Amino acid sequence: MTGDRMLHMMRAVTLRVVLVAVSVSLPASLAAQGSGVATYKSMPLEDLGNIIVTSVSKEPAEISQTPAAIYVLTHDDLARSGATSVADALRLVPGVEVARIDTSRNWVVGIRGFGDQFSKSVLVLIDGRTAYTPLWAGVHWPIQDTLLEDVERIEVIRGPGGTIWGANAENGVINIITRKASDTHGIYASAATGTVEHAIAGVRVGGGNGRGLDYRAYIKGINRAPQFHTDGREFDTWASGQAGMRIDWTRGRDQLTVQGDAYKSKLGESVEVSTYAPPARFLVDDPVDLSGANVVAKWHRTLPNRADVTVRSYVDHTYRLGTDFGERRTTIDVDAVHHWFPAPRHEMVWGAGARTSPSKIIQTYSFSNFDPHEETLNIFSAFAQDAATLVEKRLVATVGVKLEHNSYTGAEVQPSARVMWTPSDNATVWGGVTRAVRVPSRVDEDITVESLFQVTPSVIYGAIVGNRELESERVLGTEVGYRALLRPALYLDVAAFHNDYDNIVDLGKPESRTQTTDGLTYLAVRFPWTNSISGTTRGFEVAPKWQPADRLELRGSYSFIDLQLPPTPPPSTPSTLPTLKATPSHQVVGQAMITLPHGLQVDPVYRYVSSRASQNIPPYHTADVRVAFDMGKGLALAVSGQNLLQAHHAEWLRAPGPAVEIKRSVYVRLIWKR
Amino acid sequence: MVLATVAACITVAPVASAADATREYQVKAAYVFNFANFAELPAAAFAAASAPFEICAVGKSKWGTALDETVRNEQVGGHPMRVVYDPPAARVRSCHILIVGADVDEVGLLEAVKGAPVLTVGESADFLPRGGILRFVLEQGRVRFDVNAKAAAAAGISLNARLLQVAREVQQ
Repeated sequence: MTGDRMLHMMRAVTLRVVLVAVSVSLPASLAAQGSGVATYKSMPLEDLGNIIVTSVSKEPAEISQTPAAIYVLTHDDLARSGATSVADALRLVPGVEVARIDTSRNWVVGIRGFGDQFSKSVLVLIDGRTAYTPLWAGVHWPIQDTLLEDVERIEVIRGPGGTIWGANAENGVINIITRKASDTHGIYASAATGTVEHAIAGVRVGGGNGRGLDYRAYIKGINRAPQFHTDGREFDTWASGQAGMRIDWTRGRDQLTVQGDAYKSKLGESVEVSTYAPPARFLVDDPVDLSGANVVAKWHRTLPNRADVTVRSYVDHTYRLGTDFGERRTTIDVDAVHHWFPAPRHEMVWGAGARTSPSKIIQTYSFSNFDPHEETLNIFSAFAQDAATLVEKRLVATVGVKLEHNSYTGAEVQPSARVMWTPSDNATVWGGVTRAVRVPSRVDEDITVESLFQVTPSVIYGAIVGNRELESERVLGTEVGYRALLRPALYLDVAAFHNDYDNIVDLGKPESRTQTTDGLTYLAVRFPWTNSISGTTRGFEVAPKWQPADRLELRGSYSFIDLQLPPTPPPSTPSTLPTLKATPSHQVVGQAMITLPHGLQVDPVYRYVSSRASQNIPPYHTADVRVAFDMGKGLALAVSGQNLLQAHHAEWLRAPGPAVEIKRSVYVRLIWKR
Repeated sequence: MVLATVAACITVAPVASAADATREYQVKAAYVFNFANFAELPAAAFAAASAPFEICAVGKSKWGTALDETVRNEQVGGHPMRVVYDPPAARVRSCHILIVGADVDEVGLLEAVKGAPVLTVGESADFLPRGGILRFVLEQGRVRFDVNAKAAAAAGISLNARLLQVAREVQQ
């Protein structure tokens, strides 16, 4: 086999398999308007609600006191970003790489390296539900949607989060928290239309009885248009509908929450298919059918002495049917957490959980299969963490460990140690060492996917095959960080990291054998997944926020990462290394949030992403702008332009075919609230 | 597990508040002053015609001197206004306004004042569902408040229509 041909084939196969596929409270001394207390007291009650008291990005107080690299997108940040999906909003977060492949395929979302359509090292939680599929150990963002208006905040923790969050938080955690039902009373209706966002509409209705029972329900629909294709194959359409509800019941010390969502989507996909009778290989452009539903129940009790206990359980059902294969999966999870103060200066959290996730594969063609078709992943876990205050208000040490037993790799131990020093009221220095793992997925363990390589002189198929002997990928992460309010309106957050990885999965040495499928006898060159790559990533993120005036907030970030991985093998050897190395070294975000009188908001964003050299994706600069106007009577109008600096640009290469380019787009949104 | 738990657990107590109250708390103090004027407490709430109108603030203080400065030399219905910080639990039922910080056991405090004519003012998301009467909320960088009208009625407090009109939301 010639090298290039083989590489192309294996890339195609690999990719197909894939298938599937603080703000800062401003001290009064800074206040520009009036002389404080006396002025406010003499103002009419009606006017007090117009005073801008703080930046719109106010972070919860505990964030500035967390010994980890954490960044929060608030409800207002999300609205002002103009983003129409959680994944796109994450472009504003330092240390996070987001790439759109086309309209309908999964977003590439990575934290501190290894971003991929099938990113495996980022854990995503939505109100405590793991939004992660054990099919390929990643998050399928298009089905993890909600009404963005009902999201309270998104917390992004860069770095291994293994201790509390369990496996697969190897590079970070994204925690999406929706609003309590008591915060979403009334009617919210929104309709948007634009060049790529053909139609997005959502309605939410909420209420309560004033005695602790609150509820909401929503419905949402999306229709998106294809991006720019140099070859004209506009397969990437998006049509989906979703509905959901939440009920919060509060009585004394107890709170019960029941929430759920159900969705149905058709997402455009292009798949390379191989057949045996006759031996052939061709592209099929056909949408993937996706549907599912989840229900989460949570009980929270506040105990005396600031302690509390939470028990949560959820059921999550997913269904997928694509050209290459289908899967039906139901995940059932229960966990309990107790948070208490066992002794003076000690704050403890411990808990335990169990999860079972049976999956059933639907085979569509002979070329791709999972063996066995039915398999259940079981996970049992327990963790404990103690935060010890060594010097009152100044020095805290945190140690913790999580034990997990899963049906793929058995027992996994993930310890963590962190220290936080608060030298003054306005500055925090923190550091930590964490060991975390990523357990194998069904694609790693059970898959076989073949692709026709040559017909003459003899028929040869190349194959990727799962390996049931795989071990977990491991990382040992070392991090340090510094956060400070440098001046009354200038906040700085800096973090640096060094991560050592072992056991990263690559394709190993092939073995050839003669086999027969659909009556055709041929030579199969089989490449098994193996734990063969070790590597190091290191880098830093700098993220200042500055509020030079009441009505102007400036934010920015610069993220740098250096990947030290083994050399990419010659093109004759298929490998995951080109994808692992695709992370851009430099990313810059500059953002202004301008709040003008009469409810006018102007929010420009500038973004720079350096090249993805291993994919031949050039660097790009682009910009987004949102302008919103409050028309009164509960009506608001917003115009958002995205990717404005060029007609289209590529963000990610997804073979077969040339990279799809992401278009400049504009949409208009009308919002009505009552 | 939600970050809230985690943050709580890997968090030290918040650092001491700056000597100055933030503008946020200066505005909240002005709101509290207005609440006192636009809420009508039953006469039984006062031991005597000249008894003070007590504003009690519980929790790590973010108020600096904002509350004291706002109510200094002021009175409401002939009752001189006074600020009391972190009153003992046995005394909270005699407060007229009880401001509950986000970092305290609000369930315990709300239980302690149940049935008493105390105008409760909170800051946490659960305050109204738990039976609190008024709750501050930050919206687009501005201070607004929500009202639980049922809880006010249960405490025997009548809220002026103007207060209800300014509220972001009145839960009936």
